[in-house]
Amino acid sequence: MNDSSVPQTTGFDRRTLLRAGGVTLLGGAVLSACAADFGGDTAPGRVGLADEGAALPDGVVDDVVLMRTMQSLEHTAVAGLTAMVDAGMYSSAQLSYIERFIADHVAASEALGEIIEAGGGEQYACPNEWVMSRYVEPILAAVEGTDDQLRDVRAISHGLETMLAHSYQHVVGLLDGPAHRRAAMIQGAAASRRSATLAAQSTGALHGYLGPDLADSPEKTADGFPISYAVPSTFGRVDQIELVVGAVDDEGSRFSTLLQTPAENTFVYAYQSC
Amino acid sequence: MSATPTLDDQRKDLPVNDAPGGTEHIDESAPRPDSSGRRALLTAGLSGAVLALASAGRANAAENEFTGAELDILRFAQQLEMSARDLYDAAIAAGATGAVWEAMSEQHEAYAQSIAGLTGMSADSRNDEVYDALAPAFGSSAAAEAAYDLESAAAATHIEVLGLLSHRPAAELIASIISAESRHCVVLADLTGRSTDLTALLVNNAQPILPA
Repeated sequence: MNDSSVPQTTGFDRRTLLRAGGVTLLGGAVLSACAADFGGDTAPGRVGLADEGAALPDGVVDDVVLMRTMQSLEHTAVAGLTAMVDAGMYSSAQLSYIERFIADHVAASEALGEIIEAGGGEQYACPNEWVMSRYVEPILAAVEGTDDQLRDVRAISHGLETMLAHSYQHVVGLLDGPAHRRAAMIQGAAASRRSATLAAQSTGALHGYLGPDLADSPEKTADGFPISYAVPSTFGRVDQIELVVGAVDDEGSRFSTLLQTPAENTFVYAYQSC
Repeated sequence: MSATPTLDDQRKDLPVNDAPGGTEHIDESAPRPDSSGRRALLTAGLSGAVLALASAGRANAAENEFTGAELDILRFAQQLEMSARDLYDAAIAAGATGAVWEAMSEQHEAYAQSIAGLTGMSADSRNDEVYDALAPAFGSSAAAEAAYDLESAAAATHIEVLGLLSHRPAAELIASIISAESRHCVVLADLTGRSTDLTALLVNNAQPILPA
């Protein structure tokens, strides 16, 4: 029905408005595409006047960097074990081998240092900052107020030694020089022995030597703690190591972390020094 | 095996797969059982047929292609692993019991088979000189001590092999075998009553077995 009392718009209804707007946008897009390059900075805009951060040098990963990284991990183990020794957390029986482990790590660092210098690099006889801040320091903090100190230091020690063993094996696949691979696995074999010794001594009688992949052995205790095995698998491993320590928190869980082999964020590049 | 205290007072009861022996404290100066005879046997059995692995020549081909020298080295390593398998089987046949013996036999066969998988060389033969030198000890009551020496020598051998390989996947495989055999050494040190002997547990003093 047509109500003649309603004023009629002539040629500018809603549809016409939408059509005109679309034509305008399309025209603008065509003009923009055809326009000349006006130049100017194409970087995202900045707010404020703060200095731009200095860019890190390019990190080249070569054999020297990998050896420096392993040297830093040896010192990371020294730092972790020494912290627990200094805090009086080990039993006297545990101390009888932990002190030997620390001495072995220092000797390993010296051996690696000679290789690094022979390769034209600078030694890095310091703990790995990334591993210390992400793993070791949080782990040690979690042990404060624990319900079983000996259990925790045993697990931490095993975790550190196993991380080293896995790391040496891992870097063999990254190293280019056969002589460097050989040198890495001399230390890797020693780390595997320390890891296996801790496993055999701490859980061997209760759970045996052979891991779940090889025998009818449990993966964790009834309380949820990973069980270490002297021979956890047929081949040497490079996977991450689960570590659970500390007291149960308000949410009913304990601190846990996954120790890992070195990667780009862990490498000690040539431009780093300590 | 009876339950005994451990280095850190953790031992509790009987194991599910072979128990380590243990005592309260480590004695670094504790004498080791005499293995000089067995070690001498190993050396004697190989003497006259030994050339340095280095003489096989440093492989320098592309890292994913085997040179002839590398294949020779890996064949030697493979046959060493087959010898180890047969020696553990000989010990089992002579009365050695426990999951550890069977597991180690299977693992050494797995190492030989993994080399076969990588190189295409069938794991169908052992190093008779190694086997013949150690078979009497593996068939005796001193089998665990002989096994400790064999594992130590095998790990030392593979470390030398590693230094001669440019082939990256082969290097990764050999490295994983070194890790595993180093762990075997600890178990066998433990089983032979050396659970407090840090030298036996932590140090590999064995000489590498060298190819003829």
